[in-house]
Amino acid sequence: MGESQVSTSALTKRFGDIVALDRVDLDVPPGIVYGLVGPNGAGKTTLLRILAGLREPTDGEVHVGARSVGVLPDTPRFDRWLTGREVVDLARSLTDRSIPASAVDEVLKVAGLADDAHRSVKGYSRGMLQRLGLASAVVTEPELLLLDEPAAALDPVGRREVLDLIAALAGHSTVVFSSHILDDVQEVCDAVGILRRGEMVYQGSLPGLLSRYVRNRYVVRVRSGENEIAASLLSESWVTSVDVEADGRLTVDVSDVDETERCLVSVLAASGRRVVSISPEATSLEEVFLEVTR
Amino acid sequence: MTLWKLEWLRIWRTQRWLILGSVYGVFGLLGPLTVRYLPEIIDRFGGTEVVGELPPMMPADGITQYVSSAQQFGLLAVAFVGAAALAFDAHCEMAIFLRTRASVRDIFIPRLGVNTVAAIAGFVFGVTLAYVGTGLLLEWLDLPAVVVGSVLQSLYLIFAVVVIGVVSSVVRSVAGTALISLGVLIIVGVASLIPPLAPWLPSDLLGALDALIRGSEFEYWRSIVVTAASIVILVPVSIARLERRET
Repeated sequence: MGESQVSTSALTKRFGDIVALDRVDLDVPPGIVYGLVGPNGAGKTTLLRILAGLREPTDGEVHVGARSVGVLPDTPRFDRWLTGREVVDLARSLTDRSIPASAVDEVLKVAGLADDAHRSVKGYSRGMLQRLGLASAVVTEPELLLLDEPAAALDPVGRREVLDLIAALAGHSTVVFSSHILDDVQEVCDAVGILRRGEMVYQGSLPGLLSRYVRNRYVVRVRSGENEIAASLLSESWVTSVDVEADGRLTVDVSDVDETERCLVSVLAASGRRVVSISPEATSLEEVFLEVTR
Repeated sequence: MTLWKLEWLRIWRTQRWLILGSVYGVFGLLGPLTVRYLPEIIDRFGGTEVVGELPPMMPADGITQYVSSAQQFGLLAVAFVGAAALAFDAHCEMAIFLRTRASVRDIFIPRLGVNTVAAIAGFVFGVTLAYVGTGLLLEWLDLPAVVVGSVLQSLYLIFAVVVIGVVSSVVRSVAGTALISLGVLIIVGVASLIPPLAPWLPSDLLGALDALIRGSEFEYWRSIVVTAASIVILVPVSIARLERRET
């Protein structure tokens, strides 16, 4: 747990007979944006709340190295009779009164709420509340930010703004945020942890995750003779399977990339058929996520 | 912005001060008015025979009427207003905002303090109206007795708000906190029907104002001690329970 900003060891949380977290070993180095992904009920919120000190683990250890922590729940909610500025100022004064009040106006401006700062929260939209929650979490520039589904249920513009805010925090704060929107994770995260039914099934860099689950697959498009080509390919030792689709598209799974790169073109040339395209198929995070959480 | 200021703003902007002020104020006005004009009111509605059977009204009845109504409707208002502030875990996301930034003690004490002051202010406002109304319409009552009686009633109100605080550490919802608190206070009141127990219970203080203005002896030391001790014990118990609660 030496240099981690946040780490857990064999962290377990049970609610009666239900195991919400099962021996989770989390490791978040300082200064990175860490994405916690997993299907609903995987334990993301429980893990974040334990890190925030809001819940006690049943077993295991938790280490939070940060001196200050900002927390954003998935659906931020505030006293409806406060103004947006009062909410952020309350967050500032409760956390660190030495921070000047001018920081409140600055963070409201960054969050795009400067014009609505003196309106009561009662009239705020869901996206505005989310941005207000984020502004409240970052106003004191905490060393660690725990964000639970910060961009969920936002419209594309709101989502874009929240992601930009998170990306801007990289390097200043360590950010751990949960999400089931994989595009968001892919866009802003340096590392990712995948939870499945309370278990951490993968933890590491995104490229590492993608390379671990990369499939050696090529897509070949021909004008005609796809069945004949498929038969030729299947006779090669480095081809494991070929799927033929109606539009002349062949999906070729291979066991040896080197051999494929050396021989695929010549096999196709030998068929005498017209080849439209040959391309390796990239593995998306969504496919990996489905594979890992299956 | 501090947590104390937050609570004053809560009472002010949600107009809960108006609920407390109007409940106590209305009964403070009606107490002496009904005593002074009850025969006329009954007569107006055709109850001439009943009027003849009514016992003569005493000036103290103006306060008695107020105290009787305040115990019921006032306490109901205090329970719901208090629960709305003290049950701060009722909304998980709002609780997360506070609990990740301040200690439970720092959250709880201002809520307890401001709601206690508001409840007492409401009660004293009503007593003042009842006292002045009684003096103008009937006869001026013994002011020291009114003041001492009001202080004892206020001590009971502190106890009542503290009970709401304890209940908020057991249940999360606002309605649940208010209703269970009222249930607890009613049980304490019913227990005072047992004669040997009555002088020891906080509910004994509820009759102090009425008794003192009628010239009764001051015999509330036992209930004062028990009530004060309950307050001193229950506040840290509430905080300890809230600290252990998961969000």
